[in-house]
Amino acid sequence: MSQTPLRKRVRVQTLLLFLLCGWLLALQLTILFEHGLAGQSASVGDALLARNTETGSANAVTSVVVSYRGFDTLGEVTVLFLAATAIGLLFGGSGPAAPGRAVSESSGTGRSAPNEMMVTGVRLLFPALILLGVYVVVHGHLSPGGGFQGGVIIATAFFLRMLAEPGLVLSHTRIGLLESVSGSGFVLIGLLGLSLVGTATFLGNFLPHPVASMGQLLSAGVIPIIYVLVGIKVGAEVGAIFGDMLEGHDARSVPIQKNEGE
Amino acid sequence: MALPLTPIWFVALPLLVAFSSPLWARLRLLMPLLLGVPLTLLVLAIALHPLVRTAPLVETIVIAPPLGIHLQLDSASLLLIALIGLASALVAAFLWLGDTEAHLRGRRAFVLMLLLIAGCNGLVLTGDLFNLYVFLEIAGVSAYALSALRQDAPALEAGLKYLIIGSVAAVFFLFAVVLIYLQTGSLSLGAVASSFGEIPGPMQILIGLLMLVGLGIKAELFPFNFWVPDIYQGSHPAVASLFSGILVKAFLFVLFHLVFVLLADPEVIRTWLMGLGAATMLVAETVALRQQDLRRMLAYSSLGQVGLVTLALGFGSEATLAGGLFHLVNHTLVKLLLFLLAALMLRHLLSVRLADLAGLGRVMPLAAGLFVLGALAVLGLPPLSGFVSKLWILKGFAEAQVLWPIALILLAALIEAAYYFRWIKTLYEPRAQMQEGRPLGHWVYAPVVLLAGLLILLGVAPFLVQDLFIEGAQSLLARDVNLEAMLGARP
Repeated sequence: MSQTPLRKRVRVQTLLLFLLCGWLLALQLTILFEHGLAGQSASVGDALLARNTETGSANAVTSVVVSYRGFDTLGEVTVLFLAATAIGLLFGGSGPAAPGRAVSESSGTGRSAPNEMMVTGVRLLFPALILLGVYVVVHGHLSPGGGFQGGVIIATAFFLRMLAEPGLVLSHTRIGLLESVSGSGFVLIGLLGLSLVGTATFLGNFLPHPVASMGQLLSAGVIPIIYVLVGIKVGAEVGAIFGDMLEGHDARSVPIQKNEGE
Repeated sequence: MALPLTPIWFVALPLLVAFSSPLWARLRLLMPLLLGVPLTLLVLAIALHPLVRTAPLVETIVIAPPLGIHLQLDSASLLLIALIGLASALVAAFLWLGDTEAHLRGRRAFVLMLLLIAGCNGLVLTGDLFNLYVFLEIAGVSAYALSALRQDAPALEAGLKYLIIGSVAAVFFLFAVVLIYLQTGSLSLGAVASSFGEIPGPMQILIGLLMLVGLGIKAELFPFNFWVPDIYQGSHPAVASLFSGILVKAFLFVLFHLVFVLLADPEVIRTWLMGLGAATMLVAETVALRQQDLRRMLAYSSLGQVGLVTLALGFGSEATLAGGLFHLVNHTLVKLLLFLLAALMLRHLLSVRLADLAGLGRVMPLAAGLFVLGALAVLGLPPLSGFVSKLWILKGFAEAQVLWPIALILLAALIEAAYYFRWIKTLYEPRAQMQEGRPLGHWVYAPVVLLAGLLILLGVAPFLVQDLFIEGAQSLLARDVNLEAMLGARP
């Protein structure tokens, strides 16, 4: 038997904390099962679905995401922008290298060279992925998908290329330009909706969006334009996050160069 | 085609300027814009005041309230918006004139601060629960990144802690929003408020508890505020002043706005909120006695004042509400003053520990003098503004014949006096040699002196702003008017 007394081997505090959390969880589940699953009869979702034709968008989810709750989408894009900015701050090369950051990764010389399968496969996949991404973004108001999904597909295509070609570095200025043009564009379209007399509300749909043209590529007024901007922005942010993380990884794998550079 | 001056500008303008930051960085306009944007918003808030006085201003976005998102500007939220504009403009002026560290003047810091302003404004304005969550995330994520801005060990630790605890808070809040949507089928505050009473009792309690934990963490109330001093110590003092000055205030406002709108009878949780406030105040003030680092001491003092404001707002009578709102504004001004002074001392001495500050009164007489002024304002000595706001709160409690909060507030003020005078005494201790730091320009002091001037002005002439706070308190309490405005907005 070990010499340590029982109360040190079994952490009483942790145990009590576990019991408390378990009790709270059980209590919460009881309330949820008793009252939570009844479901409400009429929700905002049903009301919005019934009114969907007025946006002229064939995809009802898109008319909620981009038009009715477009303000939320602007906020979500902003959160993504913030996350990309923060990751750029912490992983990107421009920040001051704090002592202790440079020491890690005994493996040494960064990433190993990609093999032939990878290089050839990515060469084949890249155009197809870009095409798919653009299709998903542009058809956001017609079919499932849209700016967020398509943007991530496009960013993934570039990420695969970064993995396959270690020399490839996404230009920070260009990504920053894309980010800022698409983000400002979103806000400016919203403000245009506010300033025009016909709509007079932020993010109002000021372009013609007749129900007759529903289902065509050019329909639903500003919705596809906003979704393309969202697609560009999401693609640029996610691409920037990938790029910053890869660069940060490389910079930390070669500590000597980094320290001399600073 | 004309640009109408509506509440959306308080969110849209900082967003637009932050998104187009590469352009401003190239034109070398970052610092002027960081000052200019909050000033513009402040002017806009003042311009909207006569309009808001008559009736709350409800702006719909795309579709009318029960279905869509709306922003609501009433006398109370206008007060907060103006405060956020003023406080962030003063911090921006400090960063610009003070020739502060490069990482606080770069493009990223610019983006993060503007988005923090946009997030706080959105929190205060929005009338939709999910939209509230989105702004909670915007304000939160920008705050996490701001606290890690310096990228040394304490800053990274602060950022990581803030990230984890902030995300936990956001999850609690989101879960409450999900439950509300399940129960009422609506997210718009007006519609939720009118059917909140029909939710079964245990479910109401669960939703209320989840919201209280989520917003309690964000608003730094007692059992949930253990993380605060680490964050305030790790961040740059100017950033900490923004956290204490506007971020916490925005969350406090959200908490009480929800309480007063959702609950038909706020007295149900009056005792709970007052208890939380009193506990926050007493615990924080007691712990502050032992602190050896100026930033930690200010953090605990800030918590204590947050507790006092919660106590006053939680009581929910018109007089204490007006006093609480006034104290909220005062506390923002005082903590900006003290944290910015801490930033100056930190730059001069490279340390703000109690032992290292001895004899500072000789080297930096102006900073030490202003610190004394700020400390007296926190304590609530006449003729400074803290006196007036504490007096209003105490008078409010006395009129309602509730005496225990009065005793607690006076006790807390006594403890406050004990530790603030300890720091003041150290500042004026004789000491043979003082290490010489970087000399500071005269302009550095301009925002700080302006803050001190405001404190004295509000203390000498509180009647200038008295109506603002009373109107704010009335609009918080006028549930029926608010609901009517929200539900009857034009599409």
